[in-house]
Amino acid sequence: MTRPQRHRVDATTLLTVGGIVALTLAGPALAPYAPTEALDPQRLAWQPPSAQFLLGTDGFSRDVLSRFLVGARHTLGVALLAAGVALVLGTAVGLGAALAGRWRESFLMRCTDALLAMPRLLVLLLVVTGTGALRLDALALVLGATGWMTTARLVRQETRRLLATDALRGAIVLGVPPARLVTHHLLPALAPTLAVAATGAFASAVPLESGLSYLGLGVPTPLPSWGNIIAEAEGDLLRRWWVVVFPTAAIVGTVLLANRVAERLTHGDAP
Amino acid sequence: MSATLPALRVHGLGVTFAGAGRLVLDAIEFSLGRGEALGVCGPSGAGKTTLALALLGLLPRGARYAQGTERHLGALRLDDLDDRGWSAVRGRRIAMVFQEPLLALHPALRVRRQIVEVGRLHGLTDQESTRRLHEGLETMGFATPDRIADRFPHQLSGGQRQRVLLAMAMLMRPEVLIADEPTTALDPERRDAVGDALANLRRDHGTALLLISHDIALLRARCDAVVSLRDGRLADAPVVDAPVAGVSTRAAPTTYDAGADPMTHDALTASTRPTSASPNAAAAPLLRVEHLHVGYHTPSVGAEDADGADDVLRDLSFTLARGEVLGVVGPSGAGKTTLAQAILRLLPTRRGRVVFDGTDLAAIDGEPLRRLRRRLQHVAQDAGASLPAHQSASAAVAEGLEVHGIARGAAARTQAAALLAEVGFPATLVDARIDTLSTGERQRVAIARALGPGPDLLICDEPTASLDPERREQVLALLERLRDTRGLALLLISHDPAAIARLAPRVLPL
Repeated sequence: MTRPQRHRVDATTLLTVGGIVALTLAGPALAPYAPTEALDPQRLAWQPPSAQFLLGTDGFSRDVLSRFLVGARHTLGVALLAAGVALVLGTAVGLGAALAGRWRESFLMRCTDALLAMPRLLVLLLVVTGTGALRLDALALVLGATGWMTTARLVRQETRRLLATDALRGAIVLGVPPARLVTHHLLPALAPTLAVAATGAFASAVPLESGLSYLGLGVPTPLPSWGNIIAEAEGDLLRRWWVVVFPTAAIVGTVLLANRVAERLTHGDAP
Repeated sequence: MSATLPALRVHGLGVTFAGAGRLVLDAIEFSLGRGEALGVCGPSGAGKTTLALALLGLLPRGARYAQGTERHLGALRLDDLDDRGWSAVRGRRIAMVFQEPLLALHPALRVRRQIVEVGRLHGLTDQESTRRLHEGLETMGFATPDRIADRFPHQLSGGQRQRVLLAMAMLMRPEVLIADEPTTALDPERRDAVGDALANLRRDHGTALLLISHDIALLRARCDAVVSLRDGRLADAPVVDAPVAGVSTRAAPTTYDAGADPMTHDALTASTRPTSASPNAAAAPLLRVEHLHVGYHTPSVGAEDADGADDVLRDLSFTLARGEVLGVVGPSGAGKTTLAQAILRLLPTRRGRVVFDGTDLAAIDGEPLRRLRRRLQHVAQDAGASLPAHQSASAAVAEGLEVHGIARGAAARTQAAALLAEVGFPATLVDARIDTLSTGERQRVAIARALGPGPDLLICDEPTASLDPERREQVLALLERLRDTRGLALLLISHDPAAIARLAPRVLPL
């Protein structure tokens, strides 16, 4: 009874996403101070929010608002790149499995399941402690390389479904070769699934990056990221609440927002 | 409660498509009382399906309602509904049976599960949904509703799918039922059964029926009034019908003028018609099917049917010579489409062989199989569903030329346009997206697409079912010409006795 309907992300969500993107891009220009500059370690350390420092300062007397604004680029940039890596790897494995069929499909998917069963944070910690502090692009690569499995499973399942539709069978009977089948028929039809998978990969990469940064293993100091801003408050989180609250709220908000986008994109796919 | 109000009333309904810039529907007016039936006929592309979609608020993107459009369901004004309002109406108060049933069924769910979910949405218990489903399936002439309910949509034949959809549509006892060509995939006997079921629905539940078809005879037999839709406007239906050959609704003769025994084909082809294929090629058949068994797994068949007792096709053997036309006939569900899919390697065979020009099709795979597909093409039953919806008509046809290295780029587009012209496709629409085309238009795109690679054998699954008499004549003449000029062999699956009689000197009954 249902014809395929277009799924739209509502205006509020779109505006919020647009706002975050704009803030992130304009971050360095908006920041009132240099994010890595210790203003006056003697007198301006641990200043609570005030007119001079809207979000207060940290233990090195650095302005938290400036670090927060510039840190958004590192946190979100790494998560975005990680989602891209996860999307490419996951799509390749999922499509490959569904098209290969039989034992190759079983083999690929069992490997995927095995990787999925490993606790991701543990793997990340092992990698990062083994290699030492990573550059930002390397960090994104590692996050992506440990986060493609869900995408692979989604893509494989959807590809199998698509292969049974009349449209794909029509293309196969026409004699469309496998490569073109992927580029001209499967990928366009997979686009909604890929959008959902990418949003999910992004949503899982944001807190992981922050967590690693909090542990001092993510974005290398003194470069700011939402995670390592929070780390500065270590020792007395409650009294230095301003260092904790704003980046945490931003992390949680971003994840919720990404999940909302994913949900809007999926909604209606159910029968 | 609204006994005096008509069930459905439409005033000034107009629809435009942004891309095409054409007024698809123009100032449509009608009203439909409780239990009444209105028939809408009209040529392919006249806007029949668009009318149905507009009444359900399901117009595709880019389509727009004209100013002053009014649609009333009883006392409810449909134009004011938001998405939530529509979902309370669709399926419950207005139900629709789509023309291409495969597009309307969820491919990954068994029939029973789909019904139960629809029922839940509308507040029925699962038991009640199942009970109504079985009742509906029985009304639709299924002897074993349980088995049908346990199948996936792709395991049903085209005719079975249409009847399943009708049973689904009746689930909520809607006030209005819109049926778009509900009988195209059915044989004459089943067509009558479906007509009777629709009449019962009107009588027992007071459902008003909007029946869309190009089959004027069916409309006249089943409706209180018949109107015709032409270029987006309603008019009285022609009194003297256009040539509606072979669509008599009742008791169509089942005696086809050909040998029923498939093994006597050599004598028959030799005597009935001179083929343009070379005489020595006739010695080796183009297609040889030997002891073919094909079946599906259904959970309700208790002990797994290792002996093939539940096979759709059992021990089927026949041959087809070059340039020969073989008609395949049989009641709905007899396995006609299954046969086509098994030959095309879309379905696994349980036993037996399919040999195409000396090559056992089960023995090859990958690139050799792909190359062989150039010579073995298919026009699917749900032709629209078999095309890439997001591409233009000419791109879809050009693809067949490109993938077999026949032409590329601009040359492929030019050849595609020529092929489309050959099948009578309007030149103005060659760049229109497939999903904005009417069913009849898509049908012709599918035929042009299959002809592109230059096949030796074309399997046509109900190629004329969704066409109006004029287009039907065009397609039949085209197939005839291709047989005579290109020496194209045809496996013609059809319910249309006139088409079979005209093209196929030999018939394979299933």
